[in-house]
Amino acid sequence: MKTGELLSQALAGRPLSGGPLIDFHVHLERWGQLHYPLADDGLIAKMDRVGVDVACVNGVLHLVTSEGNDAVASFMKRHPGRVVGFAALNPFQHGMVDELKRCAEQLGFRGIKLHTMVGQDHRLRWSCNPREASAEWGAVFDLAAELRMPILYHGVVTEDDLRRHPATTFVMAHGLCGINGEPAKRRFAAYPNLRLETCLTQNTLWEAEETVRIFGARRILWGSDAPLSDFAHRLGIVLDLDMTEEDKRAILGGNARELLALDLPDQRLGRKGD
Amino acid sequence: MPEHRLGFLDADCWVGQSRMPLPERLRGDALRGLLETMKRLGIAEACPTSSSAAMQPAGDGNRRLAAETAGLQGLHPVWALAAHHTGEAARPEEIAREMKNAGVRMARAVLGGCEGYFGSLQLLPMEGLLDVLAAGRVPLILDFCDREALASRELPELLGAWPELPVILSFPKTQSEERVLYCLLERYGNLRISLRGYQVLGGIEELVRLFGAGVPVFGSNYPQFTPLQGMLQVIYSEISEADKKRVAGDNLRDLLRAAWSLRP
Repeated sequence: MKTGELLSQALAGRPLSGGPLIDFHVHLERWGQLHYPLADDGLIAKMDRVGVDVACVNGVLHLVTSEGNDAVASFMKRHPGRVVGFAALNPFQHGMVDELKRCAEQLGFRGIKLHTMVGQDHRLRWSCNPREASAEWGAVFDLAAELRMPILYHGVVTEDDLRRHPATTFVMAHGLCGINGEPAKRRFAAYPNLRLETCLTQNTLWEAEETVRIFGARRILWGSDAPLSDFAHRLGIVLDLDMTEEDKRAILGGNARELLALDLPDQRLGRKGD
Repeated sequence: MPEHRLGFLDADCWVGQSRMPLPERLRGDALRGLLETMKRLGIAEACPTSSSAAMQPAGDGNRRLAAETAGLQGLHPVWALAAHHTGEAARPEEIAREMKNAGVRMARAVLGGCEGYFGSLQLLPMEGLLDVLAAGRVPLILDFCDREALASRELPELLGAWPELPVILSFPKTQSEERVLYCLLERYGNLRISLRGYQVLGGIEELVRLFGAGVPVFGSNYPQFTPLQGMLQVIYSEISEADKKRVAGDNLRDLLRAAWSLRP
């Protein structure tokens, strides 16, 4: 259904209300290679404007990944209830199992962010593969399952990992339109521990609808990639999908709330924009 | 959906056959699909380019688009123009005459490179066309595919040599382009940015703050993207309502009104 309350709220420029809006893919800090007009604490005002209740924030852009995790922890403290920390892991800089334990036990993080970029440097561009840099990956995936921390991944994770670690929840970043063709989508959909996150600069409506048909709305999680991209822009692809309002609400926050076991008071969600 | 209060005019959309894997409903009666989308989202007007005209400059895509949009309220055809030296396209003066006769007030450059995105502006063969478009103040969309092209010396050369030509840059995504863009915007008043790929958080606000509300132009890249993405970016942006109206459509309306009217 391409109409409904959510679309009406958005076209009126009101913060989306009536259910949780949880952004599964947000970065803290600026990436030195890029210019962003806005980042860090400025994110919160932008979240309020659109109605984002909670942002799942990672510090993977930081040059020193463990310091990025500390910065996310500090961000969480400054904005209680609005930020869920995702641990960025970097096999080139630290023991990943130890850093994951620290993020979970000391910093209170609820998820993990992996990115191929952690091995990149302007002098060694593309030359470092994180998978070849550590023997810890299997232990990381098993620990994630034990800690019930979903893994949002950009590269790094292979199809073999999905098969070998069925108790671990993997979320493919940029996955809504990131798996080319129906046969490949069906192959990936066969892994029950795989979910897809929505943000992409090149999302096409028909491919998004095909993906949702194959995976089902309950396996899709909304993400923006802010501050690289605009929260409002990234809502458009979900709000224009041909599906029920209930399914849209699941993608926009219901699924993430369940996956992260987030306690969000319903009264607050209903009052947004009043 | 009633027409949106901001008066959206889509500067950057396409109709017709392309190499994109379009679903049947968008390949068949493409104009109807565009009109339905506009009605559904409350978009007032749109400037579609024919995909086939951009992919096959020797064909009749431009003329067909002009004929099919004639009499359809809210649609302003954009002609995809190529250099004439190979005989694939008419000479610039003839093109200008035909555009004026057909009421076409906007153009898109067909340049070298893959899939309609250019790796080089190829200014030399385009000079004649740029002369007639600039004389008519006809807005021109340029499609970018890579950062090297954006940073090349050709773009400032074009903007500087044809200062009366309104140029709308359209690129697939914004990542690291601002450092070049801001420099160009500081120097050249004839440069506009299509929101088609300009998706960075706070990007509209920053463009308006630094260079004024005349720079960003709403464009969607429909049918590849849903126009709702760019619309929401404008609707939720933290600029004044008057500036939102300019970005949503009035900037381009002003350009379209001025096209061909200043000189015969």
